[in-house]
Amino acid sequence: MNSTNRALNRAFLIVVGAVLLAAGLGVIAMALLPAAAAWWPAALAGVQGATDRAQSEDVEILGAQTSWLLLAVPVAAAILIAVLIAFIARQGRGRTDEVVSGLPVPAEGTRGTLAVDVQLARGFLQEALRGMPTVTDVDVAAYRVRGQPALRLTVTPRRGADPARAVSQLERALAEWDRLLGRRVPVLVHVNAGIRTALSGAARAESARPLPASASRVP
Amino acid sequence: MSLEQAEAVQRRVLRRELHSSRAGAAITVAVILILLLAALGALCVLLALRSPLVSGVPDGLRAALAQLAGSAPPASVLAGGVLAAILGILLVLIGATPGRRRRRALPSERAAVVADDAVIANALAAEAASVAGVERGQVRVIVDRRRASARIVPTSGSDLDTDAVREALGRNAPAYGLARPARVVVADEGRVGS
Repeated sequence: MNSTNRALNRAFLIVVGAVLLAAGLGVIAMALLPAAAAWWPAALAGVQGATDRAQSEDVEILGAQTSWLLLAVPVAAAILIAVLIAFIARQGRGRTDEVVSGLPVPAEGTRGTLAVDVQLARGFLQEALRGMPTVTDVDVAAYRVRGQPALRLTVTPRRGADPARAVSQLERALAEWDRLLGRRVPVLVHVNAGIRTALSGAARAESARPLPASASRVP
Repeated sequence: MSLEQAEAVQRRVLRRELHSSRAGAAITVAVILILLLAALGALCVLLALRSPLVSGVPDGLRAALAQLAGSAPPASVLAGGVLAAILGILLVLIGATPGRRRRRALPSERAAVVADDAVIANALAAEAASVAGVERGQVRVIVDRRRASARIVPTSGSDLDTDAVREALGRNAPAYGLARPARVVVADEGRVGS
């Protein structure tokens, strides 16, 4: 629901993986096949020569002679680090506090715009679902998806409760919410197994594919 | 927002919700790269300052690199290459596979709905136990991406209406996002005294 750039994540993993794989295969080939290793000493000597030349073109900084290479590498590393930090910070964003924003205020002669806070949606839906036989808890969050607010409902059903029934009860609550708000905001509902269900051991109901630990096994 | 727009958003959100974002792997790799870059940067700065701390590092690096193509490379070089290649394959796979989460879409008129497979398994187990007239503990349900199966251990000496269970679980299949009705298996050995 967040605005994580998934294609970028995958491209990043594939590129780093491909580089690692190529380097690994190269090292393996050089270790096993003398022919593959033949060019390595020459390449190494070339790099050595280049760094030596760079060393000789000294610059003076803070009164000391030093190679420009030893200054350029940290600068390049710092720039790359900044890019990577921006990449990390980009993950999981997109949450917002407003379910509706920028509406004209309905009252006449009033200027400004109207926004509806997600707290209102949370309070309304929690109240509507209180005491329902199928649902123990609802959490409501708002995200901006394609620039527009959308709601995310995380629903924890009672154990063994019919999720289809929980969904239809939720749909009724949402219909009331739509009426109250006067517009239809996109909604995602996640019927969540819940921490308690996920952590309690035993093996009665479970979903396939082994998980780390015994998640989704239920007594 | 028009209804079509809202539904397009819901479709997109649903698709994303059923697959991993790969954020965890991407962040882990990025952090490791940051640490390596920071180490490299720090090394260069210390070299520029002619710090005695790192005076041996350039020669050591040179020797290590020369060893890669030595006539008899140490086993650790080969092992390192294998490790790098395996890690590389893993990362490529993480990047390229769909990364389906153990969830499924449930039908809804109003919203995009996903349910954890464990929720579906719990509901099927409860339903199967109640129709079969056994304890919850005698039913074990596995929900797979493609189908669900329930295994029931009958109570010794009492009848179990397998078809009724099968029908009850089959009724739920579409509403639970299952393409096919759950398979129902009754164990040959009953459980005594439950």
